[in-house]
Amino acid sequence: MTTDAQRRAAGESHAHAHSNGDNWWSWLITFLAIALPVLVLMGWFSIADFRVNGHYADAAIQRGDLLIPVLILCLEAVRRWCWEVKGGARWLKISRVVAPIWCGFAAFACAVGFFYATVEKASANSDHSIALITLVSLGIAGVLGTFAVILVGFSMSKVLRL
Amino acid sequence: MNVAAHSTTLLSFVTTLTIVTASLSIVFVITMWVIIGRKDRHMQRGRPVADVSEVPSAGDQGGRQRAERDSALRVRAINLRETVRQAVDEDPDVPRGAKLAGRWVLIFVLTVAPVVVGIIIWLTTH
Repeated sequence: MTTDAQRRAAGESHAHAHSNGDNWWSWLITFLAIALPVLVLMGWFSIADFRVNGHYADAAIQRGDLLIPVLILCLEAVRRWCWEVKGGARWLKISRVVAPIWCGFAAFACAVGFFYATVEKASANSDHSIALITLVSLGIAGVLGTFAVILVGFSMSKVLRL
Repeated sequence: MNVAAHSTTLLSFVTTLTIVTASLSIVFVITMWVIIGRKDRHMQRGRPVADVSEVPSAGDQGGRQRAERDSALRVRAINLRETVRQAVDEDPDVPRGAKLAGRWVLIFVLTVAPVVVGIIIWLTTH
């Protein structure tokens, strides 16, 4: 026989699992906007050539095709740090200021890279720079954004009194 | 003004800036993860037994008493820790302004650090 308290606790637990799952899904879908074009480019030409062919994906990254999805990922990471991560611990207050600024740097780099990729004439060095900006900004937004999602999950589950 | 040269300079600078920021963010996340792990272990140690009635009582009176004593001790430990934390926070020897200033100085340093390190690396490599 279940009591009201047990039913209420089960309901809260279900609601928490649901919202935390949504949180992860929305973050992973933002990643898919970057991963899917790369996978399609790799898969399509790999099937045609009967070998793993990353040349076209590499060329797309060097052209700056993925700069805007990465820029959106950076902005999403900023949004999560500013509006979703809650808590009053001292280290968390510092993180909530520093992490969005670093994601902002990455977004600025993507914007500069995109401007350069569209306006300026390409050279071997600029191609490498644009590819580097894309991948490193993806790393910054990926690491800090995923950490923000984990922190939101922690504060939901009340494992930590953040 | 040579726009192409300036934009190339800007591109190489932001590339350096992103690399430095990425390195800092990795160090930052690892540090935060260690802090969370320590805090979590701390909380697990101090967590009171939620419901002592869950401890089987039939034929295990001693076990139930031990659980009650254990729970009471943990609650006392949490209260004591909270009292100490409040005492430190309200310590008149450390003015609140200084604590806030310390926090903002740290934020300023962490924010400016990638730009300064990026400029230094960029100047030394160009």
